[in-house]
Amino acid sequence: MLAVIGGAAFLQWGLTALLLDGPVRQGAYYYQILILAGVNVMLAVSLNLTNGITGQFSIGHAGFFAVGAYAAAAVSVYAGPAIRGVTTFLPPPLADAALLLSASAGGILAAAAAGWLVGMPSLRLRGDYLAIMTLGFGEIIRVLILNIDAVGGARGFTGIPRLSNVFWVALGVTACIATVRNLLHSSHGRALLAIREDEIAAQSMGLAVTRHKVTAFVIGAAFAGLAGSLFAHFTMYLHTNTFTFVKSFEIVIMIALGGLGSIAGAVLGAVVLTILPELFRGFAEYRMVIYALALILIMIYRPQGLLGTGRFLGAGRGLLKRKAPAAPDTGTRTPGGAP
Amino acid sequence: MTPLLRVDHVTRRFGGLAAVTDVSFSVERGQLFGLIGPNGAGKTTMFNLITGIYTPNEGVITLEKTRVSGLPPHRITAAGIARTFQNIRLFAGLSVLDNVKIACHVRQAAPLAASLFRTAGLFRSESRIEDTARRLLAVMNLEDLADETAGNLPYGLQRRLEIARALATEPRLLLLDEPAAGMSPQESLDLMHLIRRLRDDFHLTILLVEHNMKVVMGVCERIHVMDHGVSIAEGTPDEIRRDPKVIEAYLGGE
Repeated sequence: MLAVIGGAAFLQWGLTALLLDGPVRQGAYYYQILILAGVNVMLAVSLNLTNGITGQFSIGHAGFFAVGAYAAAAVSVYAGPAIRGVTTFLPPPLADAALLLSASAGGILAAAAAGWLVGMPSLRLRGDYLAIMTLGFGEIIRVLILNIDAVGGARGFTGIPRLSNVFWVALGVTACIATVRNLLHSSHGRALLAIREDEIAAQSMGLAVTRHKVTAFVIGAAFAGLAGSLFAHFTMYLHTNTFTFVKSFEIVIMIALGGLGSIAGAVLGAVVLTILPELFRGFAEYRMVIYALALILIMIYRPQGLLGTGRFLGAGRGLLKRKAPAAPDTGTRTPGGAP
Repeated sequence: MTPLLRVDHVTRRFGGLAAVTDVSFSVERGQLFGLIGPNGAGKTTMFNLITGIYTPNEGVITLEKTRVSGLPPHRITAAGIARTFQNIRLFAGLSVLDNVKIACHVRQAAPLAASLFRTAGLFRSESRIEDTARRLLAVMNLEDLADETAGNLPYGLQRRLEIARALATEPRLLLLDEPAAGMSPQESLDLMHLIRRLRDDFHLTILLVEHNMKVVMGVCERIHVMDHGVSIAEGTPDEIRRDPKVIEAYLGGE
């Protein structure tokens, strides 16, 4: 049922993209915000897999976003001519698609590999230590890229073809949400929730805790890589300043705002935090102050996030019921929960 | 015939403190075996050694022919040892049903790829897991509470849920860490019947740590007594009841 609704939503989204692609490109500003919102949704939903669902607090997601962006851009810049050579028999739009897909594959694989390398040692740590470790790794990745001359170094990476558009971003968002949702509704997803609830009990029930954590981390990194690929092929220019720990925090704030552990919450948080800064362009200097204030207010008045564990579609029943405070006024009451 | 569980000269130290010193005992197949001792005797440490939370400094623990000491906890569970916890450790924020389903993962999970792409294999394995979990909840009389959040259950039911969850890993040896703690006399009596029924219906061997002497003496066929980390006696409930060393350990000497 959900799959049908998802499919319909996706079709509608694709059609809108096709129809709007021309006119909106003129209003490039809104178009750009739409793309950025999509990229942020992918980042938030994928980070939510580790932070919200598995309960392992990572603040280095921008690092994997960067690896994906740079690796994908490197594929299309350096291997682009060769790939175009092979696909000359295809009509130009399809040749573009082929190039974007191969670049994205490169970005996803590179980010997943980086996720595995970082996750293997870090995920044996807990809580604050894990957070510090991922923060450090995120910065290490950025500084490494800054020192690779082949991808522009401190000058930034230029000459990336513009291959991505709303259609591809919508496809990426759909793939990301579908994957995380599928995972969540399976035995593997329950294992991740169990790890969040109680690690010792989880391992005593036969779960290979580290392996499950690393799997979630790698899948999250892979989708950050996809987000990076689509981002790079939209902006056509990359600079490491985009991928500092400030970006990592931004993603963490998105999922905290929407509701840790909820996919719909991550989507909402990402969209809100893409649009809000644009509305407040005039006070750009105060952005971090406003973020901090918003976060503090949410933690005080709605610690479970704006959506809590609610969903956009379907009843709120199921896996993600959490220890919500027994306040009678939370709008997300489950059926049969009240007398 | 080799015993199901063999604890062979096991020692565990924490810094300068020896929590368990040179303890040996073996549990036969199908036995109801009790491990008792005053507070701080090292019973829970022994449980944590058998289930892999701690590794012994010396000695070997074997389940049938598998050496389990040194294996990580999840491998020990896969080998056939399941446990409950003295301070209940349920997945408190998840539903009662999910608590049991999670423990089914070790025996009957579909591969990760099947979960990501929702193949037919996933639906088969998910419906098998659902059946197993509901059957075990029914055994524990918890089937009506399947959708309740585990943390909201009253204490006694949480203990029953922990047992259901342990059974879902399909163990050969079940370790119960103070299952009667905090129970009323009537509940303890029910528990004794339950433990015997589980042993018979699931062909289990049960190792029990318990403070409630009525339960231990009433249900166990063989009892091992520890005090200050060392073994002081082993025998049938009658022998243990009369053993002067045991009486001294519990009531104080001189």
